[in-house]
Amino acid sequence: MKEADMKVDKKSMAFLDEADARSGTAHHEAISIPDAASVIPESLPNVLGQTQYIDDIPRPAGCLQAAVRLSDSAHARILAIHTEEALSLDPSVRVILAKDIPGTNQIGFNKPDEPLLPEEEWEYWGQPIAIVVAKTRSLARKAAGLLRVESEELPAVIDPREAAAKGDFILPPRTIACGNVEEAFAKCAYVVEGRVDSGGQEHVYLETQGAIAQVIDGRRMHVISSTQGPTGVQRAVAQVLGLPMNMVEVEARRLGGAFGGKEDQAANWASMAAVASWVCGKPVELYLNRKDDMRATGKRHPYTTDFRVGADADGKLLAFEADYYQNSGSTCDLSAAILARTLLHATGAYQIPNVRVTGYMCHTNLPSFTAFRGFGAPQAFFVIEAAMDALAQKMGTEVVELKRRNLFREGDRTYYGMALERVRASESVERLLAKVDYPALSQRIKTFNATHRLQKKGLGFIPVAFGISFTKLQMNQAGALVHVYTDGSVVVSTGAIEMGQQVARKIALVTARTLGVPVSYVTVQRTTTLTVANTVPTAASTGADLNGMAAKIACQEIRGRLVQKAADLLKAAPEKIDIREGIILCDGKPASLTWKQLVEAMHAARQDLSAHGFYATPFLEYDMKAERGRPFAYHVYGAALVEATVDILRGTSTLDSVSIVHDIGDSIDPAVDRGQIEGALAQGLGWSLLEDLRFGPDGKPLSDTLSTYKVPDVTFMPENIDIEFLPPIENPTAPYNSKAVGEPPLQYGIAGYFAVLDAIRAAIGKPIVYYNLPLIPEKISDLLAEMGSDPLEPAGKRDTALQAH
Amino acid sequence: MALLYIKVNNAWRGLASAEGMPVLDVARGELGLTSTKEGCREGDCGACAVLVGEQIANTVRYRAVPSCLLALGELKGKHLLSLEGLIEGTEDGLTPVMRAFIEENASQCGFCTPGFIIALTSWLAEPQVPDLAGALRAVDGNLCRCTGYAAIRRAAARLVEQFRDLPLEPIARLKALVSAQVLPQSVLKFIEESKSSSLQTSVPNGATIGTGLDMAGHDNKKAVASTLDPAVIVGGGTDFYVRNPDPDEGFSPLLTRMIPEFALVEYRDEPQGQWLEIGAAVTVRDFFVSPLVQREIPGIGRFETMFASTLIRNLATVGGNIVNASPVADITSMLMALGAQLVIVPEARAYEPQAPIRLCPLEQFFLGYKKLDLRPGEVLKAIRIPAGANRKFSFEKASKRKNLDIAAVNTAIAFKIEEKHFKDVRISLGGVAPVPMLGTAAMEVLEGAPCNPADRKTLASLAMKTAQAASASISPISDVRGSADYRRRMVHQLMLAHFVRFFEASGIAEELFP
Repeated sequence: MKEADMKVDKKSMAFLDEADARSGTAHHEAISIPDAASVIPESLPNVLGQTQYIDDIPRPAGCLQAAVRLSDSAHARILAIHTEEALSLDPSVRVILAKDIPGTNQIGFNKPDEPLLPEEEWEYWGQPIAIVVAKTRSLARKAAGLLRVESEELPAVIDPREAAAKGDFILPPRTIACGNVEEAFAKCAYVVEGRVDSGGQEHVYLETQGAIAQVIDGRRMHVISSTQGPTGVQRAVAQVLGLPMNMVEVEARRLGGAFGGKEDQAANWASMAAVASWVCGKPVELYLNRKDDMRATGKRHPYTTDFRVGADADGKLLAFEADYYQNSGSTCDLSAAILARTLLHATGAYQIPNVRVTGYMCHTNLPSFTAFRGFGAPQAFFVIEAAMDALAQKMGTEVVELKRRNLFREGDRTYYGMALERVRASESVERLLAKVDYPALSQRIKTFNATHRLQKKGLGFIPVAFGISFTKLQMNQAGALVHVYTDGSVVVSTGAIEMGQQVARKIALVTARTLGVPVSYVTVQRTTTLTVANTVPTAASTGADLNGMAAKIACQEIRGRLVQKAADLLKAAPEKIDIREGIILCDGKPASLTWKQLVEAMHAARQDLSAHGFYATPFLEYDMKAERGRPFAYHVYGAALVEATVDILRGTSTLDSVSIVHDIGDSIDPAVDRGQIEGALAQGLGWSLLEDLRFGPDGKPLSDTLSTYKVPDVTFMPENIDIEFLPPIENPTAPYNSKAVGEPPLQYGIAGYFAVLDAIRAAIGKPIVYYNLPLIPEKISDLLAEMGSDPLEPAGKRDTALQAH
Repeated sequence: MALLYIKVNNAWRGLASAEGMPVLDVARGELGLTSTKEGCREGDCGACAVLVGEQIANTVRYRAVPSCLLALGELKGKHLLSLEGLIEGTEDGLTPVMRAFIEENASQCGFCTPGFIIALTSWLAEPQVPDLAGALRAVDGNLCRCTGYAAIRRAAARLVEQFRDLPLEPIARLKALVSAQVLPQSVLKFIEESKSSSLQTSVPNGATIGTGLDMAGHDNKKAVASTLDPAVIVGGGTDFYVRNPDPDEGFSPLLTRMIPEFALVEYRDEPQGQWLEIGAAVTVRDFFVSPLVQREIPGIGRFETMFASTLIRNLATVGGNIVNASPVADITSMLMALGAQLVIVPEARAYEPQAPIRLCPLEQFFLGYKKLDLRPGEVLKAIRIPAGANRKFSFEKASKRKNLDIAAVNTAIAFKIEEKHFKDVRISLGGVAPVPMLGTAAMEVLEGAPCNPADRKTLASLAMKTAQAASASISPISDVRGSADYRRRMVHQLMLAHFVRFFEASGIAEELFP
């Protein structure tokens, strides 16, 4: 197993090699190869505090600071914005309103419904309505506060079901179906229906949104943006400035976290900085403070869903239907694509022959909800897992057994017609149940509960099958630019943005492996729209897949030239030549030719040491009319079991342990993948049990600070997190049979919800059903207090009670 | 303009910024220490943590604090350490804490990483035997959104292994940490400089500066004299700077932590008996670890982590928690149950040991929401609790997250058992009204009632009656932290939790949950 390799103790040595390589002092030909799995040199500047995030980049001379003025109601008509007091604060103050935008006041890409600054109405509480610039950030913020806004309140809709009742949708509803649901339900021995609610989730990227914009030569725009999608920023900036895209360069360095929050919505802030810079003729930095960021930016979509599920007498699923009401917020943004992923994951990891699911993009006066790791899939998984849970309660059967019976199997087709290959659902589940010794564990929990009055324990279990590829087909493409310099060092730039997921590490390893050099020879450079154009955002877990493949293709091209050159120089057939770890091999033996000599020979012969690689995921097709096709390159499988304890007195929960079996394919770097799984798990558990995004009935954001919106901390996370990787498997559409890892493990956190629910059931001794996430202490306490109530009372009634305030 | 002298990493710097400026802005701006990150400006993320070294009594102490909530004036004569300073002079450019992060892949996006490194360095500097629980407590105020903390936990475990045998004597420990390159050489220099004679000569232009408490008072006296009513008084700043993140240029509040008389914990003999007096500027951390406090309030230590985070406890003051007048202030809740009295003095005479005092029972101090019985020109100097009482004490709070979260409700209880009866019962309730208050109805139920640990039936029934009295006596409101119903229910449940804490051995749970 690769796991064992991680522990090899060459670490510090390898690390020093890397540091030497960076400083350019150690391009010795006697190569000691860093153990791929042992060192993560990309984190070196991080631990030294030297990584430059937006606000750390030395500012260009004369750089002004921008702040935004946010709306203070959910929906209103703008009558006037008075600037006199703001302007009188300091001579450096400038106020930029919608009318000052030089180009088109529109940044909505999927639907033109998003002005950069509103002209007539604002549509949510916290919407930027003016940009204020001054010589210091403090002055800019103070001046923004001095703007006097005259407005007329308009009615606001907060509840997606209310918007749906009015038919107020961002785009028309979308339905995907197969089989005959009505007939199937009629044949079911068991049918359960219910309602499922899931809350929004704030990204809490530690680095807030920001950008630095600078006019170059009086006519071109250069923007450094904390973005997952430089091309999207470039497009938006060009549009608001009225420039062609070739006059706008966007650069993304390392991001202090993103998680989807900077996929589409970094463009707003970069565009504002660019407009301000253009209008003032000076460099402008816009860096949001936490509160403005939390008020103004989108979050994970809250969903409210009605479902019906049916099974035969043996618990074999026959039919499932659901109406997903997505709270889309004020604009389209990425909501349609997110809804697509919800619908395409409606059945979770289960095979169901008859399905009909409909998604509604409900237009509300809230911030435009946006991408967040999982991208609509976690909401779908929560619904199907709730349906399975409710069904198990109704049947009086063991839920793990029920789920096991219905897992995807080799040769199954998903309900939208995708034939599944290399299915690993059962493999994951069986390994997991064996490793935790499920029968014994289950018994241990029962014994604990029988002997403890003040604490009860519960188990939650989830199998996962997560589709990899952008659901929007055209986005599955990527480019890479690779240069080999004459000293033998290599630089690669792709569309992959490094935001903590360590994609740079993976790209470096793919580059090194393909070229045949030690990874210490390779540097991954920041992404700019000049080096790689027309990129798709680093999102949908595809960063390493798409960009890694593009880098591989570029490297293969350079390698082909190098091999030919080496063959010429060594007077051997090219088939006899190999390059591995920076050593030229001829007939399997090290040749007299070194890597550096080979590279120099190429240059001397005036041969190209650079290549651009382009990759488009093969085999994808989807018929939007028929709602049938193969939208995903492959699926990632896995399963998780969570054990939790509920404190009966205090109504709190504690996570005891999490066991995971996960499919990382043939990982490029297991340490990176482990970090991704652990981090995604934390976000999933946080979403399920803790993170409580609230708006008042008037649309006022109530959880807009880190003191009112709590995310997992070190004490929230369980002490024991056991992760086992499935053995490698063939996966032709990702580099070296690896698999995407960013989003799939987030779903594991959902098992935390069911573990706590299970413990509550143990406490009250009734098969209560309640699916309203996050399951915060108030709700736990509420459920515990209802010990005497009807156990199968629909969740809706409780919702009203809980959300009345 | 008088400069503020601060040792910044390896050199003394004279800073022209006003004393009330948040250190974060000065560090990232004037000082160019961009390893110190702005994450939230509320002390809720820890990304801006810095190490502050200061002379305390005859020793030197380094602790991590959130620089976004720290007034620059607090650093007078102290040592500010950021990552830029930690790596100075290290062999391979890394400290062992940083190396542990690399080896365990504990840094993903990296934005939170400097704060974690500072917090763990502070933990190693704390004179106690390192264990994993302590390491995790040290980072309980640091948020990481990428790693899920598992890799950070592994890095901490690695450090526990590596630093098992550090000396416990503070100075010896600091020296050992310098040898191990956890701390830089500048720490040794600062220890030397803290012997005041050498300090004076090490400062440019022969300006007189002091270390920490002694000299700091000097400038503040002037500030008091020149600041007319209403002067702004700042304790730790952990609430003040949340509400005022962006003070005006030149802002120079009275910093109570710079007044030595405000930072004492000592016994006082008064005609009505002996009191333990806790200075208003004593930090929450120092409150919980004070041997005198621990003697007077048995078991107080177990409640420490229920208050905010390590970073905040290192900075927040006991007095600040009170005058901030939050209805759910945790220390206020504890002290109210302990029968605390406030010692209030005229601000202009804050430095005089013999200044006239006005005493005010804590429960009478809160006149309405955020309204205090504190007149213009008055300042809270200390808090007294009656000494020598062999009391039982418990504290409970309900919040969404167990750690570093503001309570929906909280409650403390203190009583004595005399001749198998409850005596001098005091119960506080927070988050149930515009002000923190006493649960008098519940207190009446318990006062004088029989307390026989062998009689679990009576105790359980008493617990239920007390809980019912407490929850019936309040009319809380609904807000983002909890609905009115939830608050009422939790007051009930937490009251039972008090009883379970005291009488679990008696089998009270079996009676309450048959």
